[in-house]
Amino acid sequence: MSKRILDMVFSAFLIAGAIYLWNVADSFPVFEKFKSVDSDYWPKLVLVLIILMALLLLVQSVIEYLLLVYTNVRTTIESHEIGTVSYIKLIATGVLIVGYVFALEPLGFIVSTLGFLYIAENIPEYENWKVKLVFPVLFTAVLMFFFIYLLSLSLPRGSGIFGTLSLLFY
Amino acid sequence: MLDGYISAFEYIFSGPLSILLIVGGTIWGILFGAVPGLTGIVGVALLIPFTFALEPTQGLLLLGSVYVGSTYGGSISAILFNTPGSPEAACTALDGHPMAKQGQAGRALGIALSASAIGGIFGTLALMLLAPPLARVALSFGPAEYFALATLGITAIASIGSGSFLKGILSGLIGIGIATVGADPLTGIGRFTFGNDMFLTGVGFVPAIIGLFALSEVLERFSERGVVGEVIAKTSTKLPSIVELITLKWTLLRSSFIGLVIGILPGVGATTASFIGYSEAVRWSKTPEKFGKGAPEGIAAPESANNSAVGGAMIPLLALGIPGSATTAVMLGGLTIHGIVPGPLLMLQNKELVFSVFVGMMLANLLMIVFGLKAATIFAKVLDVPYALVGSAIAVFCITGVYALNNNMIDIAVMLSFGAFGFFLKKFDVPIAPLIIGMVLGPIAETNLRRALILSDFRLDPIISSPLSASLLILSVVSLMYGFYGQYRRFKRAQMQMKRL
Repeated sequence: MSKRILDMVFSAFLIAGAIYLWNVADSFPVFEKFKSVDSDYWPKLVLVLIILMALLLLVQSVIEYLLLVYTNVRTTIESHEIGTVSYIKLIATGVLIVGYVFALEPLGFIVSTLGFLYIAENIPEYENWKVKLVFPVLFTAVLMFFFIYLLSLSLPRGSGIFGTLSLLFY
Repeated sequence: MLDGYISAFEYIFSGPLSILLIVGGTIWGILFGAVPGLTGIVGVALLIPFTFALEPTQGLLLLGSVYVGSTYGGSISAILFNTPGSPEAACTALDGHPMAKQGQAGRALGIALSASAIGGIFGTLALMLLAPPLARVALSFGPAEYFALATLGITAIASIGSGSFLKGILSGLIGIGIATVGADPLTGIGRFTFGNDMFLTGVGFVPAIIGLFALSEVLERFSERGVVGEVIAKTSTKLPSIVELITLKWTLLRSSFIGLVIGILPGVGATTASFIGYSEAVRWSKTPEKFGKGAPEGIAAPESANNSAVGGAMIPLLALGIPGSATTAVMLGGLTIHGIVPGPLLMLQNKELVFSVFVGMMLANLLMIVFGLKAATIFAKVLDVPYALVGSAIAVFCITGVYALNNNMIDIAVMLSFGAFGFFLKKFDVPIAPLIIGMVLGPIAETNLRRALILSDFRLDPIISSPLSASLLILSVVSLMYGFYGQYRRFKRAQMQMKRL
């Protein structure tokens, strides 16, 4: 996707967001004591500046895009990093991280961390199965020692059978 | 002052823990600086939740040592792999890797290490000498001066950099906007909370920075293929001789001074210092044509500048409570969780902490020489560790670190949101450092501007008439104009390129 188009989308999103938040700021309570430097003063100042800068970026992007189209240029300048993103891996990583967060409380630190690491290390390309087998166990053990015994910080134990398992270790 | 240093030495050397923290922090910093994608900011951010279990002074010793080590660490991968481990080492790669390809990798690493140590010691000495008197001067600062200083910090970081100026300014403004969420500092009403009381305390700063820097990097690296530079392994660091150091003396002195000045400027840090140090070295050199091909000055200049900027950046943080760089902005989070407010009163009320930081950073610079000699050999092996393992480990570190902070799922939600936000900002080529600076400096600018206006009966002239605030505001305008001019030149250059094609 064209870098310029991304810039246009970004600018448009910022302008729309800033206008929406301006309306939200309008509903802040008014304090007579603070007159013209009330609660909405600073947010509105920032939002105006965002709109101005976003407009400048939008204009610049449009001009550059039109020039590209006019000169019919196909150059490597236009290749954008977003074209090299694997959306499957991105979504998988996001889902896995969120899943790990939700699993921490019910499953406890040990089980959820082991599960997360065993799955996560397979997302990028890496083939050494011996290291992939050993690393999660070692890392979880080191982290557990670090948090609980060295720093005396609490970690979730989990509930039910997972809680019983955690009690064996901490 | 002398009794301050005596009590600092007594504190640090009274037991092994402080020394271990300085040693561990320096090694951690070199590691995070050396591995591309990790960076010193991530190294500092990841440790902040853990400093909760330490005393405030110990926490700051740890974080300060990480900052010192990481600024040098980036040069290792820059020289060996032509991939700077951190942004401040980008210029080091320009001459460091060519020198390494000529079979002089050990010499390149040695020059980088020596220059880093010299610049770091210079910056720390300046910190020791300048922070206390600046703090005394700062006691006379009023709201107008603080507003002007915060404004300079926000405009400076957006305008001095290699990326798009408009995006830098927008990033800073977005950071300022995010900082308005929560209770208004003057009226106390909730702003942009959307009826949700949990946002009254604002957006958690530590979870936000861990998400923005560390988690977004994991998302980025896991979802795309990384670029592997040409590898030069199996080498050891060879320190330069005294004669070689003497031939580099003017480069080292000039770059260290540049680094110090840039570091002191609020919001700007080691990366900018290294770029300006390098470009000035080219300008002043009698043989500028040798730069880019393995010139020793091309390594010494950016390394001494970026390490000197570390000490420089600590000066406004400790003396004024205003971060001198993105990393010190992150360190501010580490102070906040201990309830410590940096600024002129800190220098008066908590001398032991301040002088311990001075001594600790000096020790970290000296230890950097010791560890740096072995670092290249060891870290070249660390760099072989696949990101599949490193990235997974960082993700676990982020989540458990933030969880351990307050046992609060809201913090985790903030971290996850900012992780996704940071990922998309990177895809849109929007720099993240100005956003962090905006989040830190925004509330300072707002509170002081509104106070100044209330005190002056809502007139602007007292703000402009103060000599210091006027000078700082003029500098802000100059840096804005410089940024707009640079943006305009880039735009014109792109137009000319397209027309030629």
